[in-house]
Amino acid sequence: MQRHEFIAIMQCLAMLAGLFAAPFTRGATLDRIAITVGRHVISEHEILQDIRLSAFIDSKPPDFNAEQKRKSADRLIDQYLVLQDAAMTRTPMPSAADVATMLTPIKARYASDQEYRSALIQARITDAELAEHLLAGLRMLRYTDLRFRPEVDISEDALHAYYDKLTASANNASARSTFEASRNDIEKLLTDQQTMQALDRWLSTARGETAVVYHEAAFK
Amino acid sequence: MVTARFKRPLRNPPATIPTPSERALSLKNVRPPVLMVLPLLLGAVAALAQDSATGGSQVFEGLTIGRINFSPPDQPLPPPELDRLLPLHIGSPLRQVDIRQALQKLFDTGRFSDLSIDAEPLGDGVALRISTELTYFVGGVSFGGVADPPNRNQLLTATKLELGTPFVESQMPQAVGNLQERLRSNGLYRATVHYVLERNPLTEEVGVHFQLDAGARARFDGVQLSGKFDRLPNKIIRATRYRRSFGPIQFPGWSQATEERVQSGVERVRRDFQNQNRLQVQVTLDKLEYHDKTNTVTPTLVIDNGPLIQVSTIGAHVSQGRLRQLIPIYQERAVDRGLLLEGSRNLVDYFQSQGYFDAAVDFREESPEPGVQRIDYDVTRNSRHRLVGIEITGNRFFDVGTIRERLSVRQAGLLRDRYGRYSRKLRDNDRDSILDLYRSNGFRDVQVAASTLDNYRGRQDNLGVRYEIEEGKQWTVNQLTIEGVSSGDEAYLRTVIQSSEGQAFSEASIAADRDAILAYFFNNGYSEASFDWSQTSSGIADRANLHYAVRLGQREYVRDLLVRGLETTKPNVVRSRLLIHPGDPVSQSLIGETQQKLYDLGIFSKVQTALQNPDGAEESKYVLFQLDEAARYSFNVGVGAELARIGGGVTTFDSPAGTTGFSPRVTGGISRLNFLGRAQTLSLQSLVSTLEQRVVLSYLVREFTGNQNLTLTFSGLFDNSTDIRTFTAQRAEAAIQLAQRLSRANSLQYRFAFRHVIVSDLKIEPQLIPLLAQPVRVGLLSMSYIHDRRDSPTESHRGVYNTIDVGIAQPQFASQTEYTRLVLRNSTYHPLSRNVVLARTLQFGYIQRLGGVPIIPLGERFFGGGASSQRAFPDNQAGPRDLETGFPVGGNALLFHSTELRFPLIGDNIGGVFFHDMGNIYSNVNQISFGFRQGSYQNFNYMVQAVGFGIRYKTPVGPVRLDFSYSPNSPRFVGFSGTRDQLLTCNPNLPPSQNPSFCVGVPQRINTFQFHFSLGQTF
Repeated sequence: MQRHEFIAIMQCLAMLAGLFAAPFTRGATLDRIAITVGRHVISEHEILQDIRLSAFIDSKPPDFNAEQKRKSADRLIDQYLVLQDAAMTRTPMPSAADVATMLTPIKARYASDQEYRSALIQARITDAELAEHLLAGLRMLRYTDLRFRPEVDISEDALHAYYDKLTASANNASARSTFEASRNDIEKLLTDQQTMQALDRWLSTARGETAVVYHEAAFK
Repeated sequence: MVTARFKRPLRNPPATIPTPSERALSLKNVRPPVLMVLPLLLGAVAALAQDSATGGSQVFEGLTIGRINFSPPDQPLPPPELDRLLPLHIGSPLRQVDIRQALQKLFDTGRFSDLSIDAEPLGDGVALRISTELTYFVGGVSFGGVADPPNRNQLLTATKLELGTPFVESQMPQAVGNLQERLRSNGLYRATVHYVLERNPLTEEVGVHFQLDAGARARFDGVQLSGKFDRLPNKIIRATRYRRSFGPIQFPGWSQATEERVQSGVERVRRDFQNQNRLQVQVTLDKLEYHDKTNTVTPTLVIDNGPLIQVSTIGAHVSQGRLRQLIPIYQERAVDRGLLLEGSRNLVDYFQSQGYFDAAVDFREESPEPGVQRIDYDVTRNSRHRLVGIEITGNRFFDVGTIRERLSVRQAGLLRDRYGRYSRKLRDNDRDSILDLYRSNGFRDVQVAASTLDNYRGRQDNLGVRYEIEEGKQWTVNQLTIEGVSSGDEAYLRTVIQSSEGQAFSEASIAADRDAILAYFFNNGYSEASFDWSQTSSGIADRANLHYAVRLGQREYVRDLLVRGLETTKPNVVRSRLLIHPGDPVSQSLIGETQQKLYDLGIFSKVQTALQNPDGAEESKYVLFQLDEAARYSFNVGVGAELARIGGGVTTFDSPAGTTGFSPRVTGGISRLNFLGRAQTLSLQSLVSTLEQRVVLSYLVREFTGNQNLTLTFSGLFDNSTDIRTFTAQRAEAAIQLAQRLSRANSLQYRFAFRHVIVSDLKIEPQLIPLLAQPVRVGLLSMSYIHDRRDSPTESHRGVYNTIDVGIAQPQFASQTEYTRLVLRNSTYHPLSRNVVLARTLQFGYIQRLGGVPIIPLGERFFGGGASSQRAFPDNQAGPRDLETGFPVGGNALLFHSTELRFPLIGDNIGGVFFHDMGNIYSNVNQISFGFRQGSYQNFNYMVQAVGFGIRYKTPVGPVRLDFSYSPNSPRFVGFSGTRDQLLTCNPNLPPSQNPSFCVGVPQRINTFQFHFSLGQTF
């Protein structure tokens, strides 16, 4: 065995040893402030749980890199601002019972309830946290629908313009449907787009009016 | 622990500083064994990072908490408060949800800017360490090198650093930028700003001191004009007043450029155009170009003068001046339909006030030629009416007077509102006011109908208004329950709330109760207190059960008081005036009262108060007082004049009763405030007029011996006066006075005055001159009691004002004259209606000689008459007179009584007065007479009567008044027409035929008509 090969193997072993030794270290940071939104605290633990929950729903392994943490943090900020406004404006919100239908397809991925529960344990999340996570997302959607969708008004010209753009880019002329046939789909698409744009504008304003402070230590 | 491992290298820096190339990260020279260890370390770090990232709490979840430490150990919140706040307790199992809650709760206090919680094994349990970073709060903000303008307040506002709010150092560049912007806008383009921060970890305050170097202020160097306008540029530039000038006089050169001057220049140009009926003129400051080389600025104004606006009325004449008042386009400097409609309504109101109650006004706009806009108001006045009757029927609970007080419609009067005040809108508003009055007193079913009666009482063009009231049943409170308060608080609240059992049930009373309850709790530390109410049926007709629910929230206490900004003032001066103390509940009203008391000292130009960390949820808070000491010296200068019957020959004995004279006067003074830093005032005031020259030096000690009800005054004065025409008095006086406030209405004054009076230029019988011309030394101990229950000292409408003044002059006080002195005054004020007041005053005075010089010296006697005592006389002309010269010589007793009927005359600012004055100065108390006739030319002891009329014009410092009086029995007397030398040649022992002709006395009389011009009500 060459010396450099020996060194490489030793390095790998050392790395593995380090990873193996982790749980036996003497102490750890349990949680810390990651972001403050006005007087509301979003902790590092909440961000990590959000990543785990999103990964679990998407059936992906969680990614704890700084970029993902920041994305998750931004999402939690938006969620807080929206739910705060929903509470203040007394917007009717979905209840925990409404989440049950969303949980069904997730549970269906697993052969048994026991398998589902061991997946939760493996992902270091709980059933309640998953339900809470889904409920928060549902509430955001409901708020967006009630608050911004009614103010969206798609003009006839906008529908035609989108249809023309769509047909111009389509290669196969025979595959094109008529404007009337596509009208509802286009209208729904444009309405969704503009609703989301309205939400983004509102969030931008709300963030401007609220002191949002990132504590960088939580994102390293 | 992880954090400790990372910190260690920082505490132990390398002994040698590596070169830049050595500092670069390179593994080139690292030995292989070290390379083997490095991944081990990296692996461990990665593992720890993942441990944290994947929830290190899982390792410790459920373990018993054995210890909780804080890092640093000294925390801004006291340990018991932290213990109450945290959901983590020793002996309890550790749960992640509690960790999250602990972070939120600690952050909610506002005391921490960052927090983390670490754990490490401790036996079978876990030890927690809570690491904190403190939040700092804005303490005092001070400035050095201020070049006003901008003044300190403007600078403070520009920084946007609010006292007591969290301080973030990243705010500072913005604050400095704002300051520089403010300085530049005031011509200080070369100003530099530096700041120093002073942190106090103990109180988490940051004091910010800005040091300004203002540099030279820039001047204007011209004005650039552009746009569309038809005035000569020179005239526009002149209107800006950017050139150096004094009033209308212009000097060479340009003024300094300040923000106020720039803006007022623009405004003046705008007004200039508007005065030419260019109401829609647009004048904007396009730019302010700075020239660094010359330190000058050139403003560029863009002007669009807009159309010429011509407003007129058709169908009725309204003067242009009146139109400018009524049509808001002149005030708003814009022309739009809304303003023109408002103008129509104002014109209708105007014509209705003239009796044209059915007046209708419409308008139309047209443009007869380019650049001209015509606005014609078509007025249809219809017939003129007078509102001569207001009828109120059906009222039982309230009397007519109570209801009338709330009405806006007004019956026609003799002088005011000659046609009354009426419009359908006013009438309907009054109906609503009556409804509100009844509803607020529990008459929930009340109905009020308002109608207008034409040809009232059979007379054409007369109108009447009738309000028919159906009161219905009065609802009362059957039972009141209060929830959420302690029994002690409830007992107190029941004494202040209106909706108690048996009282009227109305939403107005409940609103008043809500205010009273919330004010009580807000002032007792419950800043988050909230109130809700509900009503339920009592089962009894017209009676309701009422339920008040109060949610108090967390009570806040005062942790400590932080007083900042004292430079020369002794801390005791402020401390003794603080009404709130550590440990007290936070009370905004007490903080406000303390602020007022500090302002009342007159030594602070600004007193800011704030709670530190206002939004933080902590039990006790610092209360901040940021004080700016005022300038230590103040100057005052005044110019005035007196116009009254104060004239007459100085060397001759003509006109002993005075002729119309004019006396200009100048006053000036200097005060040293906050003398010795003890809030005491040293003041020198002077007055110079043709009648009097006076200088007074006084030393004022407020809150003597720390008692806020005691005020001590030392004063010394020199006075040379000829306000009494009989003599010139030179008076030197030293006095000490202690004023004691017993209650809001009652006060006492204790005084000792020592004076030396020299009388000269006596215009009296020569034989008396040797006696009365003697200099006299007087030592007078006196005391006054003042009882003041007037609603306003300057414009009283109701109440009582009584004073008792007693004094004694004795040889023990080094006095050459011995006497006692008593003066009593009683004034009462009775409102007859909303604006009509009957006022009366009685004044009695008495001097009893006890010994010393043979007669009471002239300077100590009573003199009276004039604008504030008896208007039948010119000033100080009442009472006994010298029998040879006819000049007043004062008396030893006085009795005056005045009655006034005060009423509104024209508009809201001009009032009228009918008055009757009676009384006189008497030679002695036993000579007081109520007789109407004088008796003889030598008898002045009778009651002089006067009636008259006065006009009052309201000003912020009290009414300016002009009174005209007529006295049917003004005194007659014999005077002397000649000079002092001629008088000396006359021998009273010789028959008149043997004396020169000028020795014959000239019969004279105080003019029966008098006028008085002065400031303030008579009494």
